[in-house]
Amino acid sequence: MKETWSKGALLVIACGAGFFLGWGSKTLGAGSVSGEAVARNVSAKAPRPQLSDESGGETRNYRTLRAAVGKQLEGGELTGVIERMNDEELRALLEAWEDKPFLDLKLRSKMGMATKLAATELFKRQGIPALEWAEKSGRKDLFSALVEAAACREPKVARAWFDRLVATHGAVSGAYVATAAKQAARMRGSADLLEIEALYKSNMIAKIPEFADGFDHAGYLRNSADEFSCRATLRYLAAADPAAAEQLIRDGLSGQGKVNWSYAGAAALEGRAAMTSEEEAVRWIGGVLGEVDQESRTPLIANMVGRGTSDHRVEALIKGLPGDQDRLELARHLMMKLEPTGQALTALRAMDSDALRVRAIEYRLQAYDSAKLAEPSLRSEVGGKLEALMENLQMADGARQQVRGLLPEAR
Amino acid sequence: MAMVVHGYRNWRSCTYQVTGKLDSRSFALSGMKCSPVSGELDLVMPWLVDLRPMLQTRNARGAALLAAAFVLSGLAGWSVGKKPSATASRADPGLSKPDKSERLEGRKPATAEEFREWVEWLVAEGPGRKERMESWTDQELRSALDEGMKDPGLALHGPAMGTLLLILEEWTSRDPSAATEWWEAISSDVTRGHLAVALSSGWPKERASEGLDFVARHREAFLGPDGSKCGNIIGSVVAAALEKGPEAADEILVRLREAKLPLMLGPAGFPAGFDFAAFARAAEMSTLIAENRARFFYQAWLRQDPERAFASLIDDYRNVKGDPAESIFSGFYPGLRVGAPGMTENAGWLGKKIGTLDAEEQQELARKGGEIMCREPAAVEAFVGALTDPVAKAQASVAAARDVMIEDVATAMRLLAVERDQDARVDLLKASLEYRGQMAGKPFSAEDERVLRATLAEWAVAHEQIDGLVDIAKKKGGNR
Repeated sequence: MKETWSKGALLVIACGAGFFLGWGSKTLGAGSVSGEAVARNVSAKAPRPQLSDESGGETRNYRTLRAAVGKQLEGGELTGVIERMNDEELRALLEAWEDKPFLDLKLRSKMGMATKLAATELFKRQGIPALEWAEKSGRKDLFSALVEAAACREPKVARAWFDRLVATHGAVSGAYVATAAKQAARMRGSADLLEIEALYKSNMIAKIPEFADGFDHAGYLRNSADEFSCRATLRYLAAADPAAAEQLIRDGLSGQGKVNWSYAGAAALEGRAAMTSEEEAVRWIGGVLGEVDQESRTPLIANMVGRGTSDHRVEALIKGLPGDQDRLELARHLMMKLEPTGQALTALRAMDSDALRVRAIEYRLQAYDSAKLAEPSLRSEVGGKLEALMENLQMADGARQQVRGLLPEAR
Repeated sequence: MAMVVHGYRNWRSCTYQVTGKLDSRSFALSGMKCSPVSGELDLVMPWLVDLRPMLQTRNARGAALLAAAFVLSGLAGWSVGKKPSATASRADPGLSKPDKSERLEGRKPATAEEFREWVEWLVAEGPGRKERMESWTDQELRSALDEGMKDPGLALHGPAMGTLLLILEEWTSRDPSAATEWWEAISSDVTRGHLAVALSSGWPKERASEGLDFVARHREAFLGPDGSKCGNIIGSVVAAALEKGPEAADEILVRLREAKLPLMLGPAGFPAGFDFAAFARAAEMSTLIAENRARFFYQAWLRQDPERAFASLIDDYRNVKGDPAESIFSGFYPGLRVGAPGMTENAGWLGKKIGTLDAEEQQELARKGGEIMCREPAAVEAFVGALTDPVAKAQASVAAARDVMIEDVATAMRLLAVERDQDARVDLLKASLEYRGQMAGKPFSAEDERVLRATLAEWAVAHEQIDGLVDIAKKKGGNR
């Protein structure tokens, strides 16, 4: 009896398992008639939300997460959905979306990404007809999206369409396209980027999030004429390979390369400072500058500071630059308005002696025409500012007298 | 032996995994797992079926019978099973509020509207950072942060920075003390400053007040030249105070001022039924109003109680006499943004309110109103139509025309026509065309030229003068 029940139970289980697997293999495994996404195997469509899973199964470390974040920045979950849309649906999506400033920022960002992906997919499938359709629409955003997609995938083919976009919708639209085309080329390699830079000229500052694996930064920097791109590239290189960046700055300041190295060199300090302390970063750039003649390095020093430069950076620069002349150049630049506060005050305060402060003020005053400075109104104005500055610096009386003596006699 | 069936049904994706062990004597169907995407149903059908008795039998007939039953049942199941149909999926009522896994996995929105709806859902409820990082251990977070700090990509603020932000935010949400200790030890000012935002976004709401003290101690990092990065912490503190009422809210304003921190409202904003009038009378808040720094306050008040808020705005304007763009219209900005739903109605409502003021006050406000609404001609017309003073109407129209001219020549000409003085009108037109040239507007088309010439002919402008104005319009400039 017991055996009968046992066999009966086994039969039921066999039937049940067979039925379930049979049902599942059709219902769950088969493709959808309407084209809905169907994951056919685990590797093709792993459960989504765990970012770590997307890039490396169960491995949870910085490298795998970074790869997953990179995928998100490229479209993430939008990519698969858009790839599965048919042409008509892609066109409808592109036509329907209009970016408006009052909409939620995250929605705008995600939909912006979606329309770029949709435009890319449409161009990938249709090529020129997609561009013609977008142009006929008369919509700037739509035409721009398609031309951008084309410029990223087929930059040479898209060049004529780029001109048509600019002619119809203005240079700003073109600048966005050129920037995107360059970024796409950057992800293909330095040779491609140099070629595309010659094809699409624009002066728009672009965010440069990544380089292709094996990108030849040094080769690129020696040959590119794109000022903004070179700044960002050197910023990255100074973080990744300071020795290579050092050599490039030295060569650049001695006249090699096609861009103004006083700007690119200043960007290198930014890159180094992302990896280490302000003092260490300044020590590094100071070491590079110490090997370059004063005339070549002076313009770079002025470019290392701007309105957003922190007091800590100013202080580190004053203390860490290789020579007094460098400190005087920096201080003169920061004292342009002769303000008794802010960066000027920080720079002078960071100097190690009143004697150097007096020299810095003297150097700044040399920028004035002495005859004009002798005019009572200007003399009084400048004198008043210097008094306030000296007071804030708590300079010794002797040093203050020296500064007062620098001003010409009033006429 | 391993057998994997991975399937999908009606927007829902499940992974069925049947793993078997087979040796010479035994087989174990060790588990069947249904794991939908979000993990909410991690193990719906945990089976452990021991089939040893079945396979241990030496009765060949029995084994054959069981095998046949298995195969036949499988065929029956296959024939019963249904593929997901387009009709079923599109008619899925779950579109309005489906399970998260349904939305994320295997979704194919059929229309642009559905796509946008799906993206809105992703933005609002999709897997957030917390959800993505919660399986990481503290040690893994710490190790990943240390590894990430060596990534030169940090200099470019791309995925490298995004990754570190994700990790640090998660760690902060679990253990703000340990996370801040790690953060304070970062040698690079630049990177420390960029990562500050993760401390703010991850900071536990219930400890927001403590977070505010931390922000105040590190102002240089949280309020650097690249913008403020303490919105979440300050927003949480302010939201908690607003919940308590005007008195507590005013105390927070004082605390922020003393700590030299900016006022930031959290996403919750002002709670329903908040006593705005009492808050307006509070010491710190009334100072902000007097200094035209109360845009956040009036925007919220206008949303909750527009009549009383507008009356208070007018009173304040009469007392302070500042720039109406910073007082009267500032409160309306969200409703007056180009293309915003209801912009025309909002503009009409505001015009109607301003139309109740005396002529002098209307004129003071009309020009500013026209400038602010200029990119939406329908809103300008609604605003102008509701004003009662003719001079104010003309001023609003003309003020809007200059900006409208950048994109829409025909409408701009219509707005300029409100100016009755012919010389003044042509001067305004000339200035508008020159302004257009300086801005990055659309190229001046043949249709634009036709409209310009036809309108000027209607205004009886001399031919030579028309040619001169067309030349100005065609002149390139700005960013073109």
